[in-house]
Amino acid sequence: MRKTPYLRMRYPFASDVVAAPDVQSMAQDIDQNLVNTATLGSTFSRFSSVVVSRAAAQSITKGTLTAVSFDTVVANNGVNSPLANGSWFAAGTPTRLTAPTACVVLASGFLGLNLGSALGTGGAIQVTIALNGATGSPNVQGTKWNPTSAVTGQQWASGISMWKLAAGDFLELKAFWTGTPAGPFNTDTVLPPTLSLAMVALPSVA
Amino acid sequence: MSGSTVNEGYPYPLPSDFADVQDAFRLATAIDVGLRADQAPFRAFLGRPSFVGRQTSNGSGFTSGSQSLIMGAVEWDNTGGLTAGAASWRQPNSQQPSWWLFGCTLLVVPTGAAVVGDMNMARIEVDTTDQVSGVSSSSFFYQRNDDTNTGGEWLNFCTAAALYRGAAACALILNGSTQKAVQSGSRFWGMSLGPVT
Repeated sequence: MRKTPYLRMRYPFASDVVAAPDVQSMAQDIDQNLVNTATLGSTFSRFSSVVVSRAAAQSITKGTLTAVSFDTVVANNGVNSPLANGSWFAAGTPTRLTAPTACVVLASGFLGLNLGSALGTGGAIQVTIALNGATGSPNVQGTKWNPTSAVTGQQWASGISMWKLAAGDFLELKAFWTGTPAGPFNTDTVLPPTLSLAMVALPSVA
Repeated sequence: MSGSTVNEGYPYPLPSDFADVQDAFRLATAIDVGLRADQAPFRAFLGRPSFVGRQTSNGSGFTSGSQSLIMGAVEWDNTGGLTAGAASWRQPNSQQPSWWLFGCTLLVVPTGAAVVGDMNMARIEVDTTDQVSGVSSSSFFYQRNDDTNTGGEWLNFCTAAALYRGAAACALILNGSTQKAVQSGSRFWGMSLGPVT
């Protein structure tokens, strides 16, 4: 018996006498590879992703990096994905999106604050995507910027990043602001803070 | 002497010539090629070419000019184009011309007092060469967040670009009065969006 070059299916070769067991071996290999192809087809259409947001206002204290506690699950198809086979979000840990399996994700974080008074010239708003509870380098990514010094009302920031996660690693969306006012300020409820992850690659398929 | 299946055209031995092993060979190899081709789109998507590189120490302070983000740690790379310590990701020869999404978080570490209005910019540079004409070109993409009183701005953005055979890199650009640098923990990443056709 020899094997085909790609999928390594057994087949009888010239030196063999074609016998029923040989044909059976070939049929079994074909059968298994058809199953593998069907599995790829089913997982392909259900790539895992999750989107959570914070509908109710959350108070953010000046100068304190604060994890957003999510109260709305927009999408969470981890359980239905054969590639993840587990949920990203659990109500018991409402700040976290936890990887159900080792994967590479594209993470997008969006955050707005409703400024009751202007931040002044030293003001800054920071949106942070943090790995496993990090509060500083190296496992934080995001945007920090200063709104126009006299502006009040809704101010937004967003950040996008890519992470390689081990199973059980978690990402959080964290807010930070500083400036002249004492605060605190609430997160925006018109365009609520949102964190979304999309699985874009699997280390096991690399 | 073989017959062939209706849909895929796979050859199979006829009852009159069942003992011909060449027919078994032709059938097996035809199914092999057919299944492999059917699986190709799935494999390409699940194993999407992508990379994440991270700077592992603070850069030296400077006031005006540019400083590359050095990827001292390869957090993830299934392209074969990222080397630890490199300032750029290089598209391997084996990859077809493709669209890429590149992004960065560039953490700026101040080494002096913050000065409101000092210019901070992140730049992603994409260099590509047309494999047929040999013409090379560079594209530049920017995000600007000027200094606040608190300093330590974070620059975050992404961009899409077509690469025929090329490289991509990220850098911090300053024009100010106090020294700043690329901070440890800054990341540059990219993922293939699909072939250019």
